[in-house]
Amino acid sequence: MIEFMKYKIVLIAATLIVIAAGAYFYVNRKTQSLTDSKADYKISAIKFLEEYSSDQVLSDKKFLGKIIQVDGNLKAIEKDDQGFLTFVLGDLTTMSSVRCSVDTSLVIDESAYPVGTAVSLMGECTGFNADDLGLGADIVLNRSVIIHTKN
Amino acid sequence: MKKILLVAIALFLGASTNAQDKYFTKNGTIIFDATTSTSPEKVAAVNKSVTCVLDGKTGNVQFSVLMKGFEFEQALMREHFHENYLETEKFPRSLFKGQIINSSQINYSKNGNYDVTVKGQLTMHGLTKDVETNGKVSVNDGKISIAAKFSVLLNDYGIEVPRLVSDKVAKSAGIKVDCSLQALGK
Repeated sequence: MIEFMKYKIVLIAATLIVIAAGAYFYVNRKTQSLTDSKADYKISAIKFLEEYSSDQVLSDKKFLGKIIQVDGNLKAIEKDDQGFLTFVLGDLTTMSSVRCSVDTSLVIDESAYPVGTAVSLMGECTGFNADDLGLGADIVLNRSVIIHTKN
Repeated sequence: MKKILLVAIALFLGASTNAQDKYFTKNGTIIFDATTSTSPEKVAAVNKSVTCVLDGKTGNVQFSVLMKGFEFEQALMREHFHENYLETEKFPRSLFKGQIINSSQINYSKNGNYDVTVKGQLTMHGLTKDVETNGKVSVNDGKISIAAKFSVLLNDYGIEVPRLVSDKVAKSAGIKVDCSLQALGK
């Protein structure tokens, strides 16, 4: 009987430890890199901009918060004061773009990506800035990772 | 024919002047901080894809912030921010439209730091409120930087902090704005 009670206490304690550890890791888990993620949608930068420009509400429902793989020509790589990179994709002749903020944990040699290169990036869609400030319309992807360079 | 040409030249020159008076960025930074003194960890998020346009002539300034762009270190905090508090699926964009009221004191062609007062309206979580804050405009070899810090009462924007986490999440969030602008058209 005493042996059985001991076994029961150990079992309850072990269960509580497992639950507490699980809760701790659940609460403190870090935001994951998208390197090993699978895209919810794969789309070209031009088609992506067309969809958002024609119906923002519908496109938000479809793309907002989703992981998007976007293919397109590189218009520019912008580097801010803290060194964070943004790959700007789209039609070189228009102001509208898909702007991919690169995951800050990645080290990227931007000289390997000249303007005009066909690139493919994957990131989380954070939405669409319509052209109401006179700067062109933009779709923004966050935490972007480079999938591959086509040529 | 000559008249048409003159009008076209005048319009072109007018447009050029306007473009040079405007400065912008699409990579501005905003930090949202709702940490309390008793929070066990920082309740803060950063958005590095803020769009800002400043008209040097009128002092008009506009910000467009995609709310899904706020990133937290902790995934659970991120989920709560987007799904429960700011409801970023429903309200994906925040806007600020305002004016630097002492804009005439800024010389954009001369290096210097200028203390400014900005007045305007902030739309967040579907609600619009008046905001007034002090900030700084810096001119350094043609580069324009703007910085400001202010607080917003979450309740003013219909954002409710549940009692269960009221010791961890502040009722008033600190907003820190930092943007390096470039001349539009350059």
